[in-house]
Amino acid sequence: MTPDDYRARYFALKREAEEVASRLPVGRQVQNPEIISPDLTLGEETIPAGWYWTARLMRGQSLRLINTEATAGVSALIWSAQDTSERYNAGDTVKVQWTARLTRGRLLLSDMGRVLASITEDRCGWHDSILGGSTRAGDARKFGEDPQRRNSHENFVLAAGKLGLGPRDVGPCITFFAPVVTDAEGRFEWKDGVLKPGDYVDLRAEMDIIVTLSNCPHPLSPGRRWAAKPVRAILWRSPEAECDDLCRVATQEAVRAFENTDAVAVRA
Amino acid sequence: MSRDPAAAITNDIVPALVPWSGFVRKGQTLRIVDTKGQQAVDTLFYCAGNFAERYDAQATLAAQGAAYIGKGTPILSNEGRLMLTVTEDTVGQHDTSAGACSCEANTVRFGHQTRFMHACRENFLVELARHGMTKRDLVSNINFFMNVPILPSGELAIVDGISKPGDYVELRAEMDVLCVISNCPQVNNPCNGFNPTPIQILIWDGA
Repeated sequence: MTPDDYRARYFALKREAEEVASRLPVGRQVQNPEIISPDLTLGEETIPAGWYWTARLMRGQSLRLINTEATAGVSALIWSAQDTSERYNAGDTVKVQWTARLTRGRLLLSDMGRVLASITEDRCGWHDSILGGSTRAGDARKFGEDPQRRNSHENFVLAAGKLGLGPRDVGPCITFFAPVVTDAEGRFEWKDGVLKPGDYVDLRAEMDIIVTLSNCPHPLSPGRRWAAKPVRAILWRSPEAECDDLCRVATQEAVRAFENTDAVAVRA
Repeated sequence: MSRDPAAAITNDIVPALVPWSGFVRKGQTLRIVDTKGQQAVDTLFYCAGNFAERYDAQATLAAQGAAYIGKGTPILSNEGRLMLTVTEDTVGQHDTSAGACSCEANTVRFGHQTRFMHACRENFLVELARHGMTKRDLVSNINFFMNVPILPSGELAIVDGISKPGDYVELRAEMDVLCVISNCPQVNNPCNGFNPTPIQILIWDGA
């Protein structure tokens, strides 16, 4: 292929991505239950303000994260349970899907071109994939020093440590319930008034994964005082993804990411 | 400020498609030159005494409250410490959200036929291995000279570069750092003008 051929193909893909984004969702709607009944529930936890929680999900199981009191951000890291060197890749996730706005029908991708999890339901619609989670230094700039105050970076180091991993395994993360918009000049803005108590997001594992959630406010969360609220996490037995599932067929990139994912799952 | 290349302690031409790494000591200035224009330079920084402390793209963007790297950006580590400062930039904005290309991500983006094309993460893994590091150490990098606007809608795409031949960035090291670079080989998107070209790396002592 010549440079002109590559250019033509790239901008054709870009145009198609824009068209698809304008008519999402396509494919069969995923109908997740509003309330997860006890017979579907595999485990649940209330994660206190400032704390972290780690869960293992087998392929096909789901995690519902419920923002019961409209806290301003819950950060998440995901590793492959079979090979923790395969993990959430923030750059690939936004670049491959042509958007930083991850919501229902979108995928969380690993660094190996595979799908860690699908977003099968999203009653919030605002999650930040660019700025990550809180850090001790960032919180100190914002709220002043407090050696007792917990932050997402150290929560992730703790969670990784308990898996036999270390700081090298803590990379860029995604933060749910964090309405950040980039304006025309590239400045980040926190969108007030969109977080509502009881909003939830469902992640369906597309391979066996380990998820750590850190319940600390997003770096851009409003307010002069550190204030997190508890969140609820439910592990549940979700229906198996069918071949015309929304998340599998929404885009041609999704189709290929699932081809890569299924190839490994079938072998395993 | 214009510096004299003859006074540089390092003056390397990095051919198209290949990696480079080197230490930049506290107080030294690193210049990366896009010799032909529109050439993405995927760049990572590690704390010289402790590679577990490394560049943190998300913390850097959160601290400056803006989406692109440019003159004045403090480059922060995952421990929140200042690693380097961008002291000169003849372009204006550089991406740090879109990561590095890989064979695996290429298959998803551009089709399975691209699996066996050279990619930045191939460069990074080879160069990191020379310093005892592995894929675990690969985090979101800076893409100097790569143009990735993030629109208010969230839409994000690599578009044509805005750097001209000879454009450069300069960074002053605020601690001893290891700099690891992949001179991006990607031809499936516009980050290299569909034609990867050489870059130049210069390091000067002192301010």
